[in-house]
Amino acid sequence: MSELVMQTGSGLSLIEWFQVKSGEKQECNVSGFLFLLVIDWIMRKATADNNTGIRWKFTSKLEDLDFADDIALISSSRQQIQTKTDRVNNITERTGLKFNTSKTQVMRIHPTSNAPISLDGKDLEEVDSFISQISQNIFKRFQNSSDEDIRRKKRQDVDQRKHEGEQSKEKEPNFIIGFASWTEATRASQGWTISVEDACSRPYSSGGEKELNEDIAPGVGIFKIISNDKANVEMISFVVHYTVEERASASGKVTFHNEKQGHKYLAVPVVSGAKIKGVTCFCLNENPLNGNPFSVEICVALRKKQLQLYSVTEDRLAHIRDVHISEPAIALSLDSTFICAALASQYCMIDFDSGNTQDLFPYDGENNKPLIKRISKEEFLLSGPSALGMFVTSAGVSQRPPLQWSENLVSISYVHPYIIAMNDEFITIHSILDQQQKQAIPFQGGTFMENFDGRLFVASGREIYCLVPVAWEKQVQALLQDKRVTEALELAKNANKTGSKDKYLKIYKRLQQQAAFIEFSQQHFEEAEDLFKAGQLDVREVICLYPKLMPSNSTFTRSVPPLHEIADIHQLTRGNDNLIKEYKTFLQQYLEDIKGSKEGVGFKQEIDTALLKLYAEMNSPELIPLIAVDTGCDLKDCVEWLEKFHRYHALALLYKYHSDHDKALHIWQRLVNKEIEDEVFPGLNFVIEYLSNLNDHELVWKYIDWVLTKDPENGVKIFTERPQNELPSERLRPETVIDYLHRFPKAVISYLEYLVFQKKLEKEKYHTHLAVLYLDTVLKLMKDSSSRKEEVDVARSKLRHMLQMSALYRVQLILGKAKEMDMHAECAILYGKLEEHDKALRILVHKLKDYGAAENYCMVNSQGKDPLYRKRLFHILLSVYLDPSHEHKDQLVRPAVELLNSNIADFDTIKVLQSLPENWSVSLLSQFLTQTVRKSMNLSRNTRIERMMSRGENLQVKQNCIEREREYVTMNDDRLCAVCSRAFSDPTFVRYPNGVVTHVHCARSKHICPVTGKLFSTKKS
Amino acid sequence: MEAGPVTTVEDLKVIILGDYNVGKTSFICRYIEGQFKPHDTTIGAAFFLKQWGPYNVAVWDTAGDERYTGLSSFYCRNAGAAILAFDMSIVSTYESLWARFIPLLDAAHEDCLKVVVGMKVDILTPGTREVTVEEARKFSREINDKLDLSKLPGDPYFETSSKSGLNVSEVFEYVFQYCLPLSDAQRKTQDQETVDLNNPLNSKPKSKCCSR
Repeated sequence: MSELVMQTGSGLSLIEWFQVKSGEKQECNVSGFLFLLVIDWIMRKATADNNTGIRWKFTSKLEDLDFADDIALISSSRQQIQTKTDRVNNITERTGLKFNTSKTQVMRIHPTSNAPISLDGKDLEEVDSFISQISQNIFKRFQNSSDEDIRRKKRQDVDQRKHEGEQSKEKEPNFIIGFASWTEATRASQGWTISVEDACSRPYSSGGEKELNEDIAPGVGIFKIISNDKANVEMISFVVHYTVEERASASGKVTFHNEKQGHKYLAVPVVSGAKIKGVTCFCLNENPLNGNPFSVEICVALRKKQLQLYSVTEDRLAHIRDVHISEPAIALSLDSTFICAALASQYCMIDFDSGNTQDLFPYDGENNKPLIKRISKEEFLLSGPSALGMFVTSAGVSQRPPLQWSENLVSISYVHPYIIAMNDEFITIHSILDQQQKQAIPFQGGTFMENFDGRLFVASGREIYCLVPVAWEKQVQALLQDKRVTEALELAKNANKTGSKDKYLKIYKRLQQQAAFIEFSQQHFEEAEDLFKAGQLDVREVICLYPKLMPSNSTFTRSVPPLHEIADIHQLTRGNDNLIKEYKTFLQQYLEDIKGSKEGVGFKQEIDTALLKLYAEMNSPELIPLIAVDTGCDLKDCVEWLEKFHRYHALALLYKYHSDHDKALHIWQRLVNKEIEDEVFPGLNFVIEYLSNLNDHELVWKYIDWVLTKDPENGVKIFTERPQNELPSERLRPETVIDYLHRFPKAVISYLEYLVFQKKLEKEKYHTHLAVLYLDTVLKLMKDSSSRKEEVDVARSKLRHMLQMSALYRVQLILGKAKEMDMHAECAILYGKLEEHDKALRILVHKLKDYGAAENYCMVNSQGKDPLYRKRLFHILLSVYLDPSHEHKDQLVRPAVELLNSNIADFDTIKVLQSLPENWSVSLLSQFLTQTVRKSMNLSRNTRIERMMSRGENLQVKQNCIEREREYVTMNDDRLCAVCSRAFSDPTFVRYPNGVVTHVHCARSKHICPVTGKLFSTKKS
Repeated sequence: MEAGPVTTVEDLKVIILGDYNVGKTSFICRYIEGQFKPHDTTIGAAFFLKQWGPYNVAVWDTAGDERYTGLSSFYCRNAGAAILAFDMSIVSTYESLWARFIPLLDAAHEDCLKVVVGMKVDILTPGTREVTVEEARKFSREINDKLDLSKLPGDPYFETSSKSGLNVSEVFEYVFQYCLPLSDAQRKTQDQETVDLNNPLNSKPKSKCCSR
């Protein structure tokens, strides 16, 4: 505030103007009042209709909290707070006031945006809490001005303490709450230390020696101590104010320094209302339903079996309600409308709203002091009989198992997630999560313990200590060190999630990973695997524990700081072979599980290489599929490994995968030649199949010789079973192959068969070649007296099939040879090919006496030809049967007659009769003759019917035509074509049956009327 | 400073009562964990959550020792079902059911189902039996005389062995059938979700690496 000139009035006469140098004038009544008027105007102006506050009640919003020049603007988004700051700043400047930007701070709670807030172009300082600021101000004000100021602050800043047994006002209370210095560091194994060593995790900046007084540590509250006089109860407050500073020394140790700021005895004359008499105890409602932030709700227990509820505001003590109870209450706790009270012998839960009282359970009043601690919303912790800590909800039931405490508890407190209980010798710490005791700290003579905003202070008769929790991360680490994995993870899961969620998740994942390695080192493989997955561990961290399993070219280094202390599995198992085997089985399973899943992304090479090595070592059947399918294995590294374990087939497959076919084939060659062994190798046929699919033809030629020498029959498959879509290549031209295959006769035959039958190549050369080769085979077999008949038959049938099927070979060439060897059947086929049916049939009838074959011959050779051709063939057959020159012609009478009688052939009767010998009896031919006569009769009758029907049709057509032509068409100049609407210039025109007349060229179809689209059938319906 | 969210709100509270050392904790352990192991004396009470179809069932194990009687009545509050356990070879444990534990159940729901369960049938011989089946059966009917048990199979009386697992899950099935009847569809999924760890046919073969 600069250059503000003021004039204040006293009485009627104005006093002199004076100049304000800085700060608000606090001694002058009027200046402060004026300032308040101005600031009130500013704030109203700045926040009116802006809607930048937070939801306060259902219909109202809270924009700001102000006390004199301490102004707190409250908003729920960064944008809003910036707007509001700017507005306030603008309006302030209009009044001549100015913000002190260096004293303005920003506190964010669960922010979504961390962009700075600026004021006058300067980014404001960010703080974790305002507590230091506020409490500093509270105390300043408290010392300087009246008591009421204190309670104007939000209720949360106020902690009420009771003090019992105070005999007189003048007497000092039994204890004073404040803060004392504490330097002793007793580090416990985990959990809690009475030490400040770890407090540096929350560093508070100190502005240097000079500003020591300004720098007040958080956690300083106002402790109101209410004493009660026997006769006359007044509310009295003592406030002892200490500043406590945390200072980190050079050694990293933190000490608390305290300085007494003030010591104030507070009489509370301002609180009006009834005086309360006979108070046994009282408590503060930590979860009041009344939403007024400037009042607190307290419950007072009176000796006259009554509980009274009051609402305390800055100047009033308003009585809310009375609740009658059966016995006087010894201890109380309050949450929303529920009072949990300890009566003389038992606990009860009272709903002061409805007045319902519910007895909970009795306690052992002689040995134990009843203690009640509010834990969370509508849940209390009570000290029960047999030193049990009982959880009770407002419904009067328990939802957590009890805690086991020791006797003689003095005080209990709760800091999430721990319950801290103190008796005269120990402070014990239980987790609320599993109800187990986590730690016990020896502490003699404790009298009081309380949690102030997360700081736990413990007081003995003379001193006050701060009980500092070890950061949860460290607690978890300590648990992990003790290999208490489940507990550690449970704790981490329930830890106060300070900081951003991402950061927490990151820490949690890391903890999971660490936990996983601990489980791993204890051979709890299932748990380890789950944790590895849950923690999204880099799979290489696991693989690198197994010597030599990482790809040799990997540059992976373990994470720093290390997740575990395992050097490798040999160190872990101390060379125990069985254990090593178990570990390897685990790795294999784990890798199989994550292979292809989300966790395995990006580490394909590492995973595949490791799996390959494991499989190779364990001789697993999975090895081949791993390599055969898409594999990320590193070649060089794996080759050595596979050779070491003699997995040659796998090695060859790996070469194949990496398209190094020559090396692959070389290995297989050695495997076939038994130079090396691998039981999974499927044998030569595998190589043949492989070669037949190989498109590197040079390589095929390189190995073909070796394969064919080993197995000529199957080896030829390399040529015959080429992939369907392979492009023809110069190196695999049929001629070349055939030339090459000369040394292997069987292979040649197979290859030619492939060419002729499968590829259906229509080249005379191949057909002839194949036929000749077949013939040669037959001839060879026939000459060889030892060969069995079946073989010969098979060979000959093959030959015949070939001869019959193909029409491309050189018939004469074969015929010559066939004749030589008296191969009649073959000769017959060959004659047939030469169209010398007479000769062919003669061979069949005379030489082979196979009449069925002869008939068949006629059918086969006439297939697909003119029926007359067939008739001719049958006539030839008949004439062969009836050939008078043949010496055994009598034998042929029967087949001849059968042929005639059968319906196969359609003989020309006259020709047949002419050719029949004279001496045949009619009875022999009767069937044939009857058939013939019938057939001829049938034919003649059918012909007549047809003729008559044609005539009838003809007449109808004529009649139709006459009918059509009877109507006349007038053609004159007015007559236009129905299609193109032009005049007719030609004498020709088209007339449709429905009378439409068009040009000739306009009539596209004579069946469809071009105008109506009507279809005219050509037939009379 | 608030405690974390209070444990899931339960749909049914089942409490087990009975004299000390009759085997209450073993009984619950056998049901929840499927194994039999020795237990220390329960202090105060212990708590287990069980998933039954879509329901959460809270199973409270109480301490049998007489000095916890006051607490047990507190834990009985709002219980939908009580399992009254006794040792068939010690008649006093049976008698104390009537004398000590039935009165505690005043705090429970009015229609609280009371199932009488005889323990340790595995070590029972005809010579050591002190409570007859008929007697216990009659008792079980009497204490439930206000309830309609017609839909249930048989009387609320079971003889069980936590060691062998005999009748253990039947007791709970009986209770759930009365208190949380499942529809057929729910029952089906329930069956699928239940993995019988003792039956290797149903469970996945344990991986070799863990057979240490």
